[in-house]
Amino acid sequence: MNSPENPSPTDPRLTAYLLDELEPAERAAFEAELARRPEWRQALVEMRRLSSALGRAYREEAVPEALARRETSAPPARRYVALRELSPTARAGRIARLRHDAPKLERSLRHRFAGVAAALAASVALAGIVLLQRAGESGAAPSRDVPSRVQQDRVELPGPSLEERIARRLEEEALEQAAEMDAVSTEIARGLEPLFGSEGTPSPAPVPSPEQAVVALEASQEVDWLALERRALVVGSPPPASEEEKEAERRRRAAVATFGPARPSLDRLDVASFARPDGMPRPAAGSSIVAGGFRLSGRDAAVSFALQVDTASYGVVRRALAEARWPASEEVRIEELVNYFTYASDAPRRIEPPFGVEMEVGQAPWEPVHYLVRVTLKAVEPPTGAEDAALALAILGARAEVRFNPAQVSAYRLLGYDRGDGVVAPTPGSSTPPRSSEALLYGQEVTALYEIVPVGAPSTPGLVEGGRFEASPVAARGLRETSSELLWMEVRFARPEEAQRQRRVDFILHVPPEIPSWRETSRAFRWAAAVASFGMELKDDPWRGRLDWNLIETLARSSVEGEEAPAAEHIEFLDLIGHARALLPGAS
Amino acid sequence: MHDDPPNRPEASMKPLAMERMPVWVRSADVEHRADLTRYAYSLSQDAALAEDAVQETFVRLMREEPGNLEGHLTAWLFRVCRSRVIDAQRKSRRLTSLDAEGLPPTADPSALDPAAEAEQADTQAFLWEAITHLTPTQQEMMRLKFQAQLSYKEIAEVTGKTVNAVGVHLHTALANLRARLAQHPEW
Repeated sequence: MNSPENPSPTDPRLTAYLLDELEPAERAAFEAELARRPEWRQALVEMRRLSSALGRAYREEAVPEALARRETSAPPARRYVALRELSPTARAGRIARLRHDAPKLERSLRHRFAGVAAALAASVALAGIVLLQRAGESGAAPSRDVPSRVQQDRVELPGPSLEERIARRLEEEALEQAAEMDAVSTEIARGLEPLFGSEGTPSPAPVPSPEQAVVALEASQEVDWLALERRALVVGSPPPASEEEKEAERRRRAAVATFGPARPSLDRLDVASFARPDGMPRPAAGSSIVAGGFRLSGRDAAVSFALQVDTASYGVVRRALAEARWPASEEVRIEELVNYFTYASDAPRRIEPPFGVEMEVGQAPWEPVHYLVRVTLKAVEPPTGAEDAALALAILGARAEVRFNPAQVSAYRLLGYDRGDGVVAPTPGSSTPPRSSEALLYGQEVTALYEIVPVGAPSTPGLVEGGRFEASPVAARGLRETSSELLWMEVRFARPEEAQRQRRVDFILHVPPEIPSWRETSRAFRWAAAVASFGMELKDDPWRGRLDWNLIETLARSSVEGEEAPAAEHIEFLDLIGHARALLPGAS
Repeated sequence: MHDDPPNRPEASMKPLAMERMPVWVRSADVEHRADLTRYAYSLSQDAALAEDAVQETFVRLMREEPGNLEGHLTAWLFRVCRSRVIDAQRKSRRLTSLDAEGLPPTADPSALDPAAEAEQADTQAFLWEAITHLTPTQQEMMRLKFQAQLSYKEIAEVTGKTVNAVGVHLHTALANLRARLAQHPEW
């Protein structure tokens, strides 16, 4: 059992004893056995030394390089702060843990101090927290040299019991740790006195609940409820230091959609007032589509898109390329290729609405004066415990429309959806019937890409004639200043249990101060753009600008660059690009 | 899909001022963020993912009723953080499971130069090297024990294993470390 090859006694109780994890009865039994087994005691000496070294190692662990690069400064050293040195609210926040740890601490103290422990243990019956506080935290009181003082106390204690005799032999290496623990215990015992009434019950200062905090926040500013959550994700990060960093931060922030609150009315997206005001560009007679699927926002300010997207086209294209055959144009459905992959950065966790929307705008890689917008709708995951939850939500009817602000958008097109899946919504001046509601399933995700010709963008040769997409007089007169919204996504839905009650949530994407280049967009954006470009190239889309296979491959590779283990689907897609390139004339 | 900073949308949202956080969340943030981040990083080897997981953990904490977490706040934080890491990894399909050998070691042992290794007088460096030879589960539990100072019960709650299993894992880990360190002259 204690051979040189295997110097470790194999009873897990040794470790449990070392780490003070044995129940009193177990501990007593173990100690009785320990007295008879010198090899265990020897092992415990080594293990305690190891444990002490481990505690030190983890405490002093170097920050991994990858994390260090992301930190502005090294984590501050820990130090103990007496409970009474904390602010009243900080004290209150810790009471819960104090009470929880009390039994364990008491046990530990009884063990350590044997006969003299009773009085102290009683006084710390509600104590036990290790008051670790980061040095430098605002409001933290000055450090005190507690451990050495208590260490002295520790040495003076009589310890005639078996426990003490063993402990003395074993704890040489761990003395520092023990002293620290004791120091905290003492601090707590003293610090708690003024906090607890004669009945020993805590009287903590009121701690605001999350709801109260949110209410306060709401009162202090206009709150986007969904945005609140998003913002909260960066709680605690240091603010950007330099002006350059601030600017970079602003730009990144601006490139991301506002996760807007549900709007009570339509007043801010009064499509009727936008519809064909004087001087607005006129679409070709009899058709709302100008060219290449582009629509004029002045005429068709809203377009719905399918929530249910098949992904079969991806398999068809993959098969064709694997057989060294160029897929037929009608086999290539961009929306199906795009939705073969997923893009949502996280599943929405809200009950209401039962989905989340991510929107992001950047330069269209193939036409830098155009914008590309990624809209991803993701339904909540099924509730835990639901066996076949997908079915439970499948009668939920939903409909999504995207409305463009003509003050910002001259024309737009929904990439893919060539078969009429992207149906123009019933706006004034349009006779297209509304798209019927679709099922929305738990966990469902759908991504749509819009290419936008912004107001004021230089004309794309061939797409427009005579500056058709120049800023309209209306826009020039000030709509641009008054409305920074680029588009709104409007989702109507009805819960299965209350089918008659249709609800509506709007999500708003604002125009960022500067449209990020595609290199500055999220990985999800670049991947979606790469897949859509792939489809456009295969389909020989006439409006794909400067797109070529190099750009497609660059987009895709940049999206997975630096990943330790790119998803198999992504590697496969990169292979598909290679297959397609090999089919090009002149390829070896 | 996979999302990494600096392009991750969350990372670019406006920070919520610390003073607007509930005090008890702030307190937990100050006390546990660094440990949670290292823990998440040790699980994922992905700094961005780790930080996001920790952020999400605190966001979730904001939604909790403080009273409900009384007594097991630390375990709750580590458990939620762990599930955030697993979720994020599933999403990126980098790993299918945190169990068994699915985790990468906290450091690449092969990255150590054998010659330099022999000269390592620093026992701590040697200790870290020895830790990399433990199983991923053992490494995770070691971190929860010696860094986060969780009890067996709390570790069991975080990892979803039984208290007994935690005891065996940690004991085996310590035994392995002892055996390995016994070869080291400085030790």
